[in-house]
Amino acid sequence: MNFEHFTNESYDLKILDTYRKNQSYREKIEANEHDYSSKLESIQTRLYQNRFNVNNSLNILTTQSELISLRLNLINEYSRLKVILSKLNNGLSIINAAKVFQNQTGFSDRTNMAKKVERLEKYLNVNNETKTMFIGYIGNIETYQKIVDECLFDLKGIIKITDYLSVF
Amino acid sequence: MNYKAILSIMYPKDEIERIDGLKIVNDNLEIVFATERLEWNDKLSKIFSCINYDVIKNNKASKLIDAQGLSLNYRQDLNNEVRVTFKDISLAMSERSRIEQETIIKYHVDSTLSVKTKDIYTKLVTAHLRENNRQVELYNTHMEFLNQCIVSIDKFGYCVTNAVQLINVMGK
Repeated sequence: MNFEHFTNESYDLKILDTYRKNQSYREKIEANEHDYSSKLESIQTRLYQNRFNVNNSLNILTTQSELISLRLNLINEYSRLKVILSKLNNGLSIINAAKVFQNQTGFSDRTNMAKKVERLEKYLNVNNETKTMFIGYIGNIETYQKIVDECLFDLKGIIKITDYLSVF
Repeated sequence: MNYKAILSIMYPKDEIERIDGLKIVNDNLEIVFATERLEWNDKLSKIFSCINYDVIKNNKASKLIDAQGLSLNYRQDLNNEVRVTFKDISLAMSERSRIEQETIIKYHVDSTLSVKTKDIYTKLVTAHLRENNRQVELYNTHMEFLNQCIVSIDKFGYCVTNAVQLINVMGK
């Protein structure tokens, strides 16, 4: 186990690499969130506009099918993200321990100490940023899932009322 | 005592081997669970796609009944998997607790690190337990996924009821 490698000069490049990866993750997450939001918006529009209209029943049915498929996609995405998060936590625990060891012992080489501390801090910060980003995305996925569940619940009521109105 | 001397006490060869071995196990678990998730996704997508325009328009209600029957089978399979995963979680958690306790004692007895705060202990011990924590997290995530699949099947049951109700409405 070698914690000292976090303070090597090669980690300057690794910090930059993680920083760039974070930017790319952010773009991907924003694109995915936009995609999910538009899908949900379109479903909600179809669900709540022209509701209780018997002729619209088939549209409601398609919406129902879309909702349940979307729910499945969301739970898959949620699990995938949680797995990534557990890996990130794993990496962060090593960096945190390296920081403690460094503070306690000053590592073996005390030359350029300030530079080494700075490097370790930066590496910890960029990795924490990745973690925060993923936690935010997971929170949004949970919200989308709740919206889908509420739509499915409302749909049941809409069909019941449509059934009732169709009698007249 | 310098950094290397402390590390050789706190991370002896067998501890490094334990962590590396567990990492391989976890990497494999990750692949197995990802494959299982894909399989369940395929299976459930197939039955969920049964509720469509064609089924209602052409009155193919039998397809819905088949899908409903299949969903009950899947529900049983998922329940079994949840039971097995739950057992694995309890094993992984008790193993983690044992190693945590051993590590804490080791830091108290062997180390000459001037560890004073609980926060520092937590950070050092977490580094030893990182793969154990990851394993518990992997099992928990998988169990959560399986439970959500069961909830989706329940929702599918409501969707079938809705579809049947719609067939009735359109028949009026």
